[in-house]
Amino acid sequence: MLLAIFLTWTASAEAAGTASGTPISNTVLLQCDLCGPGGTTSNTASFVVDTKVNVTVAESDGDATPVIAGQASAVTRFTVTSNGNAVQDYALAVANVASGASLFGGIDNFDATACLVRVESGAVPGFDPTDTASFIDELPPDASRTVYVACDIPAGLINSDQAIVSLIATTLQGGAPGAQGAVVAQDLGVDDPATVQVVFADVAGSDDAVRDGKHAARDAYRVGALLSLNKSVINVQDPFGCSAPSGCKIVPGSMLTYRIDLVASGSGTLDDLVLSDPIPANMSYVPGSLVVDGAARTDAADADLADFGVSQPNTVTVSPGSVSAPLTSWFSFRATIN
Amino acid sequence: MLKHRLIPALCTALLASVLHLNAYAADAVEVKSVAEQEVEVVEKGKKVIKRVPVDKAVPGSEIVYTTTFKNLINKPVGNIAITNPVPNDTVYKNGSALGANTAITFSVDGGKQYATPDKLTVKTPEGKTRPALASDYTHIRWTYKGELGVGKSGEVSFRAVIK
Repeated sequence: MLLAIFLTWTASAEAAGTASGTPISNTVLLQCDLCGPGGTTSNTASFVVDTKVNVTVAESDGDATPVIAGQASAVTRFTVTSNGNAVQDYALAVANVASGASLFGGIDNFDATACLVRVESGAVPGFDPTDTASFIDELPPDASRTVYVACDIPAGLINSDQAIVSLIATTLQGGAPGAQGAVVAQDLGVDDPATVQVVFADVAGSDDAVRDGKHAARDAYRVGALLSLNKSVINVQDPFGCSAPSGCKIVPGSMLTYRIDLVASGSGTLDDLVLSDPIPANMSYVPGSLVVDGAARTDAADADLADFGVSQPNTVTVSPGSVSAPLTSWFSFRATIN
Repeated sequence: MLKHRLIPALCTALLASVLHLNAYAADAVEVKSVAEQEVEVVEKGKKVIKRVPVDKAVPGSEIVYTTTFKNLINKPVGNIAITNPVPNDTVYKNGSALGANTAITFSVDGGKQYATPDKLTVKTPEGKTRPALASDYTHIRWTYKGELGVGKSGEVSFRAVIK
């Protein structure tokens, strides 16, 4: 365990490089016939490692974020990574890019509105009310943070309309947790070997220059079909004769009916749609209990586009393929507690 | 009472003479170390590489270490060996050690043993032996051939990259 921790630490230290402020010293020993038993030592040539500023912003999923016209708070995700050798804060700003820019096979022709930037707090995965910070606080070397951009999508848009947004991270001074530091400036003057100075080493991003202490990346909102899923238990039948949506006992032998509702909103087509729902641990699928939109389906993989345990082991799989939005659909199945 | 006063005085005198001897011996050859970086500057319309005192030193920066030594006494000095540890948080740059009229050897064990690069090996964590890499070097030693004449000086150097 100790060894593992040590190795991890070494690896991360090497990737980030020597920490800012580390003194590097060198003293030479000269031995000779007339230099005495201890020889002669030189002066100590020393300097401190300067602060390397190098931040990268990356769009997270490599594709446009599907939205529908009039959608409030459409969320897209970025990752901000420190490749420098000091703890820094990072300011975050989001902007719409100029019309006509292209990304992920679409062209920007509208602006998203009321855009917010929020940093993942780590308390709950995904964008949620715990994510309140609008800047990255005290990011150590080599660490990264998930950053959400949430924008409103105007009404009255049509399919394939696209808005491209740019997230730019600017390096700030670290130091005081909870407080946003001042913008870091590069030291352009002559080096002082005894003081830690700042060197910009970042590359150019989508909307910033090389060696400017900033980095930017773009993501797109594309109007089209949007899929949402909701899973619920709609009935419980216990071994004591109770069978109701609620109030029955959940004990070994109880049979639960699960229902998964699918809503494709907006417009357009969703291709290659496959819905799979693994049976939870300590539960067993009730054979022949699969229902899609009110019609019973077989457990075999056949023309009814639904199966249990064939496409994937111990899993209910429904494969409607291409569906056109707007659409609502549902499927259900039963499972018993072992 | 007199005895008690004499003993510390005697000790001080002895210590002073020892210190003096050491100081005298240390003066046979003067040795200096300097850390520099190379920067590209434009002089008279031409790009030239200049050495300057360590400027912006960040991970990945290359540092040039130069050791100069000078004979300060009135007779030639023989058996000169200059030992330079690869500085902390740096890696020796392969093939960078230079020194006129010297034999250059390296250590991979903290300065216990020295050999030429082709003879150096290290043990892997699995217990196997592999040839040493420049990044394994812990010390560099320059052995001066012959004697350093009266008033003469020499220079050796190497490069290290900040981890």
